[in-house]
Amino acid sequence: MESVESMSDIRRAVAAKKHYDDGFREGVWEGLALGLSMVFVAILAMGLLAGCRSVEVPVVPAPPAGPVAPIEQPPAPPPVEAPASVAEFVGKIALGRTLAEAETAVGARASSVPGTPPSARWFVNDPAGKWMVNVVLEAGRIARKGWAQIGSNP
Amino acid sequence: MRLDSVRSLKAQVSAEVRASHGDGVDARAFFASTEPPMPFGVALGVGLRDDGEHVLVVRAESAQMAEPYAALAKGEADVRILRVVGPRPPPVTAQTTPTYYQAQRRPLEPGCQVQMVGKNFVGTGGCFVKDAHGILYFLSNSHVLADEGRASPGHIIGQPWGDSPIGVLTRFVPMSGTVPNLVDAAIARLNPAIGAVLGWTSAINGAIRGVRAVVPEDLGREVAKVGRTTGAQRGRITAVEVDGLPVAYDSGVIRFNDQVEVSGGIATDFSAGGDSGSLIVTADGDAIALLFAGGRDSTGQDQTYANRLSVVLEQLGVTLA
Repeated sequence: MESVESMSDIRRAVAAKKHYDDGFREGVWEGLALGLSMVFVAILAMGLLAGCRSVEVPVVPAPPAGPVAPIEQPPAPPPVEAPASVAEFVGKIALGRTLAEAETAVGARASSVPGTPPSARWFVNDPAGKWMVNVVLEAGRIARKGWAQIGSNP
Repeated sequence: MRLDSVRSLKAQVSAEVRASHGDGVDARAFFASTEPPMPFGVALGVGLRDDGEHVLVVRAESAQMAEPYAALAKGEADVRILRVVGPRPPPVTAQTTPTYYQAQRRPLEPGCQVQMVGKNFVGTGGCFVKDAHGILYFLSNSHVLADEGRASPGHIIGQPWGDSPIGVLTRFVPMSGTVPNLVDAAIARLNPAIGAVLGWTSAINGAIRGVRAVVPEDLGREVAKVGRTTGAQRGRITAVEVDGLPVAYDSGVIRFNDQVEVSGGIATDFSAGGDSGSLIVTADGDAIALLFAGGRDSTGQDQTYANRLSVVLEQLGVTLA
């Protein structure tokens, strides 16, 4: 069973090996060094494949979790392509306008969804099916638009 | 501590638990189907400190129970004392005026309230899924749609204050009282008369991009869900690979392995009773987990637990619609 202390030892070993490798590669015999390294890796791989569990492979510590994407970022575009009639409907709703201005352009919304930020919805009928058009409001203005298909069972 | 060191610690605990039970027939039968074996009343997982170092996550019902495991980690542990972690459907009678997600919505959308007709509890329909024939279902927990597995397929699913059934229970994953489970999940076939908003969640006001597995690199990542009680909420993944999680159901304490923990932080609860069944997504729209339980730790902070969605879909034989 590997203990926490042995992990520290591995880290020190990894650091020492990196220092050694860096110096070696900077030498005149860089090509030879690369070749020897490949042989070393091949031998190591053979050992692992043979089930040689005593071989300890230096493991580069995983980097800490990087900065996560803020939730405010616009989501990825809808994976489903909207038909022409829905795209035309969405196109009539201009970003930066108020909800009232959007309703003037496309008609009264079907519903308002509470939340932070709030959103509003229309439903559009197309020969290919029914669609939902959603706008997200920030500071009273339309900041994002999206759409989704309405499905049903036969 | 490195990730593999935390995993080694968990394995060490498992070995000690196994050893403490001796080699009797009962112990061998239990551990033969229980990997990794975990002590009762204690859950262990992998967490991440602010400095980027991984820590052993210890969730226990008392400080005394947690102490030996925190000691094994030599202080590199995130210990929280949780009250009983229970499933989340509140009684319907506890509600007053229905909110957006508690009211009948047509078409149905992720986050809507669902209820087994004739039962006095509600939960959330997390998203819509489909089988190989393209038939649509809504996904939630077994304890929401199938009464913890006591219901039979064909049970009518509706909505309080709704005037028509929205579906019928089709399938659920049985939960074991002895062997740790991976999911608390069920699906109900959508009523053909009712439409459903596909591939969308109000949790992020955007499209669901797809399903992906939760990985340790997700620790600290911001996620969101929408449920019938608390609506759309954001939180962060605080632990993964949580094993041995004891959850109190009506039928008794059931344990879960390989769970995801999400916290809304000090001021905000990520979920509350009735949000069971909510889909958890990343900001990018990746669907990653199915909310099923939660609890409040001794500091008053809400901890929410969720199944890996990829495992849920695999066990139910469906894909995201």
